[in-house]
Amino acid sequence: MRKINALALAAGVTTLVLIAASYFIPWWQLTVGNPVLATVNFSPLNLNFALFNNIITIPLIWALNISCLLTLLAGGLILIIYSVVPTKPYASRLLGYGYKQPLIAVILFVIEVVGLTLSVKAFTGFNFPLIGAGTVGLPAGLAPAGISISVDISAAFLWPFYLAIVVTVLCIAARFYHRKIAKAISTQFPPTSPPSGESPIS
Amino acid sequence: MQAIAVILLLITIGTTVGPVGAVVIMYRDNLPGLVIPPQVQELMSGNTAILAQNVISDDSGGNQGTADVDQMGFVMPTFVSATVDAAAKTFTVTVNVTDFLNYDLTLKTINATVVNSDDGNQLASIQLANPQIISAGKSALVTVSGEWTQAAEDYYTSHPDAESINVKLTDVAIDVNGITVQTSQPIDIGTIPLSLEGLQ
Repeated sequence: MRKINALALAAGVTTLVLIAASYFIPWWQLTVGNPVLATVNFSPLNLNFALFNNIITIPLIWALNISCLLTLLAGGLILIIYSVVPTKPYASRLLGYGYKQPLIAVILFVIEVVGLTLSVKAFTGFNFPLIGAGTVGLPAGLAPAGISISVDISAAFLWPFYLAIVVTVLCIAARFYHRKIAKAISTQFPPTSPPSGESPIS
Repeated sequence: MQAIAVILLLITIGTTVGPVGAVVIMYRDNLPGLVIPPQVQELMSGNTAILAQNVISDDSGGNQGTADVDQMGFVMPTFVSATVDAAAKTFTVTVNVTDFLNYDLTLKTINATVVNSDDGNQLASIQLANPQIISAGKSALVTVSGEWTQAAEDYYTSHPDAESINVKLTDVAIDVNGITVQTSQPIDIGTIPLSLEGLQ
């Protein structure tokens, strides 16, 4: 019976689902106003600002988002390819490439979101929540003299972010499962030549 | 094995450098455009979908689709009507407010206190009668209601010949779509007539 790495297959397919979902639904969303006047939609695949229903996209950021999309797409497809040939000599290289992409995307995203909130607070004094809703006062330096402005703001991580975490967990699980497969193969077919010097997983 | 490694390296380079390089080539004649969104450039030029085109054309002397943002500002409310209930010491004032944005706005609250500029006595308090949605680029009638104080009556009776009074607004708070603007400084309104003639 042909051996497959089911965890890697699940991770690869879920990565493709994540890409499709993330293009339309952000991982993190900040809304300003009630009813909403402006939103910040943030995911590694799509960062944009919507002001009065007008989507504002920065071309360079858009290009980086497309880079991330293509990288995740390549990672997902390579994971799927790996999952059906986990016993081939090059399988470890495929897995080594594929499993890292969602992991890198999630880690970078968390760093960026936390960094964004902290840097905005540090540079402008505008203290908006990472999660939750509240009324936030505009720093005195940003409001005209003699006028105080407060804004209803809410922020939340949306379901694609949690799906991304699931994908990451599946990828890590697939990597550990690959060790089990590799160990089973080495037990079944002990190496007849010295190791080539390459690690099982890069 | 080496071929797989090379292919993966090429995929990494292609997916990373490709889109960024493509955008840089697209914007090679306008490099600031890489980081300044086209929508912001349109807003700075006044030709933007954010602003209601019918209001822009009204304010820009018929120059449809373009307007000087610096000159546009808010469309000032215009007085429509007022009512007075002397027995209840209340009044309402209805004004016509125009939403110059291409977006529906919800006027949730208006609160202010009217004080006499000369002696600082509180004359009346006013508030928005009901939350009001102003459709994009349209005008809506907004009614504020108020109640005058005993100090206002005392002023009226002690100045029977006065035709007007100098007032200012304090504690002004306006909430539009959850954005609340409050003033710590009084807003000088100037003189308003004391006569009730012409009111409904």
